[in-house]
Amino acid sequence: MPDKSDIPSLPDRIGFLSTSTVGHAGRASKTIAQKGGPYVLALIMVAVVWQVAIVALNPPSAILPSPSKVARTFIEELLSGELPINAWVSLSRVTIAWIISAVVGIPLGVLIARSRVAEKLIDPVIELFRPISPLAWIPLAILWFGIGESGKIFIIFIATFFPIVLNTVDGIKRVDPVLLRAGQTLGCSNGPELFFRVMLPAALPSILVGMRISFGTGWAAIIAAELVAANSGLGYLIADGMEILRSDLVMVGMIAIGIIGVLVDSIFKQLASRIA
Amino acid sequence: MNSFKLALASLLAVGAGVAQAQEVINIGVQPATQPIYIAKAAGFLDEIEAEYNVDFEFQSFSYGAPENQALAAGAIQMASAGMGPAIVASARLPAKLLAITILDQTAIMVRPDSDIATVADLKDKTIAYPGRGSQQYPLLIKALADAGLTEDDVRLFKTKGSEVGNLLSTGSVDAGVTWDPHVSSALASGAAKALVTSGSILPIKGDHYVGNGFYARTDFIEEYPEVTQAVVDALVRSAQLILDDPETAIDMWAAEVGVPRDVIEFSIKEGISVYTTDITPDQETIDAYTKFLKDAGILEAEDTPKIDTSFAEKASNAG
Amino acid sequence: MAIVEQVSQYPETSISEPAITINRVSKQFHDDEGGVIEALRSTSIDIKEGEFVVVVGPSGCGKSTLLNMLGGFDSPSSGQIRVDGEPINGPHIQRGMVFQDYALFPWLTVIDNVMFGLRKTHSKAAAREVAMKWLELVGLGEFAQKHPLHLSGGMKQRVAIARTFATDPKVILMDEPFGALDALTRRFLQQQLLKIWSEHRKTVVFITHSVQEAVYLANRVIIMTARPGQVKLDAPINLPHPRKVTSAEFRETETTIFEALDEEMAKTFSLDSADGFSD
Repeated sequence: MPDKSDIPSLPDRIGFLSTSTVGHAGRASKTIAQKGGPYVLALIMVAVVWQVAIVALNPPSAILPSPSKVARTFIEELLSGELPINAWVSLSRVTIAWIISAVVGIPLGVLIARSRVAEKLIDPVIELFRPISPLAWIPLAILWFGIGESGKIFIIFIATFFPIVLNTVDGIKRVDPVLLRAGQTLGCSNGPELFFRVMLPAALPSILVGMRISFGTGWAAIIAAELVAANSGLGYLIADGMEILRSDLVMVGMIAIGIIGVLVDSIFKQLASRIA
Repeated sequence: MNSFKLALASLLAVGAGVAQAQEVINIGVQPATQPIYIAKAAGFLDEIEAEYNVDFEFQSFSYGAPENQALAAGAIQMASAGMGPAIVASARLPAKLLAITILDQTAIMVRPDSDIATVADLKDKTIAYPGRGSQQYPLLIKALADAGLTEDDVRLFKTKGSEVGNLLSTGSVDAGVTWDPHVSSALASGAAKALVTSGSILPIKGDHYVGNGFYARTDFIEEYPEVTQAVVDALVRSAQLILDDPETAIDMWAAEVGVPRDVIEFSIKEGISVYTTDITPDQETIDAYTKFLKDAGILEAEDTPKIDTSFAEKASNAG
Repeated sequence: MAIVEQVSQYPETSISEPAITINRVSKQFHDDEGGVIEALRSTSIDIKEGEFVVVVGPSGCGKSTLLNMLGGFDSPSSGQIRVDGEPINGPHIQRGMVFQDYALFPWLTVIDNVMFGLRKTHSKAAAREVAMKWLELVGLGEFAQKHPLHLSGGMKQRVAIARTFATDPKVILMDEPFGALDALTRRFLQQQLLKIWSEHRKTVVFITHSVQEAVYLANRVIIMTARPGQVKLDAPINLPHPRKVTSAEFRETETTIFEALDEEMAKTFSLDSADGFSD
């Protein structure tokens, strides 16, 4: 039997792709300043144009409040607790609905992806309901759920459900079959084992994308949902502000919605890059 | 032949020019028993149209907020709405309050079998209301305050004025406050009973609460003072008609707005909506109302509603 | 030194029972138009424990089909395959497989990949130990915490080999494992594979298109005919390791195999090769 020393040894780094680990780490640690820079610049530009419009057109505050007025109102609402409380309420509504969507939608997506029968039966139903906007469900939501939290959560559920299901189906279907074979030859002896150890992790990036998109659509629907006899939330803040012609409150609400939307989305992106 | 054709052409051109000179005036209205509908049905507006060569068009809104948005955008030039939206518009938009056209109009309601007997019993209960921008909100706050309660002692749910009755009868809320005809509709059908009416809570014009207001854009008033005067005159005449001949008024409203006759009858008989020829938005009344709105956080400290009592005073004197 | 014997059947001179018996196995597929493709026809091969068998053949000769059946991903239309006397009942960890496209799990680190097959039988610490040992054996100990996407093709395949060998299977099936790699990397990996195999004698069934690779690695080469696939040539290669590609014996052996293959290749090209089926 030939022994080790007969085989010529070659350096291990044959074909090593990355040139250095420093380069790789450097890419990930772009500072917050670098990432946020463009956004701050954009904000400043908007504020400048806005202020110019105020000076040039001199509109009543109800139609277009000045940037300084909006900023003052923003800080007022922030300090009084109105803004954080309403933001928290809206955020928790969306989060709860989104979790329900995930709990229902991911297993459903898995089922559709793996069973032809299920796909033939369930898929047409999904395609029929998908185009119906969450807003169209509002009257029924009031009838069925009354004015409590469940009505609003129902609306957000409608908004969040479909991206999760569809992305789960896609993710599972596109799992490379050779990975499944590898799993089988490495001891995954039954369906559940193969599913949890190979199929699900392989599909996870897609599923996470679905969840990220879904949170976004849910967040966008929060205004509509909070027209369902709400007495709290950012959507309520906006509707209420409009009623008393406080456009500054309306804009504060809009800004809060925008900021939270961006923050949540970037948290998702961070998570995704850690996992995938 | 040539000159004939020329004459015909120029005649048509002039005719077209004359037709284009007719100004369209948009008036915002709501599906309620507002006097402006009487002015239309009784032909008072037609007279103004003929005399001043204008064309009135009604734009209907389900409540005051979108109506004010339309006013702000210039889509409507005059508006008839609840006093809440009327005052807010007069304070924060380039608009002026011209008249108070309906008094009272508001009640706090509970279910007939409810064990809520006084306002104090509303503690920890759920109340449906049409939002902070409505004229019902300050009234509710005052009623609660008189009973020793604050907004935090109850659970308010904002909804559409027209939905309050439904939510009450289905048991989704314990009490509701809204405006006529939704109040009368619920009361007349027996689906609700009045806990307390607005006149007893906050009488700021005589013994009455202020219900509905009529207001217009400042630039419109300045450009068409005679038309403005004529419209206010028509409102006084309408109020007179309602007081002198309620049956006819009820017929007119039923036809124009579609509210059932028996609801309107109930409203007038029971004094839910009160009409008067004294539609002047006098300073004292407005100041009282403004103060309440500021206390309730609807208006900001520096907001001052712009009122013009001259038109209403002239109309009352003439009538 | 070594003469390649041209026999159609390997002589039964060994004492122990064959590890794998392939007994008159045939396999037919149905194509989309309702026709039948005969991939394998009555193939019989006995493989002994510790043999390094390389199967070469033209496209469509059924070698991948055979490997899939050995792996348990498919079953014969007729005939039987037994491993250690037992019929095959689906994939099993005892018949490990190395794939041409590596099939590393991208969500796991290199070390977690290698540990994958050990998790059911070992504690986490013990699994990690075994995995590290194998990673170091293939020379990639430093890359334990990296993710597969940062590795080159050659490195990925070394991880895959470590992953399969770590589970200590009886049989290792290799489906053109070096086919996607450049010639230099290929050479290196062939040497690595032999090094490992020399220390951990497994039964290996290896498929390739490359005659040179076959002669370099195999101690037994099987040449398949064109479709329908049957055994054309089955001979031992007794050249001592390390084998020199340039040596006369190596060349001779290659020539013999090439000639046998050329016959079959000619048949392949005379057939309508647009049937869309590879072997």
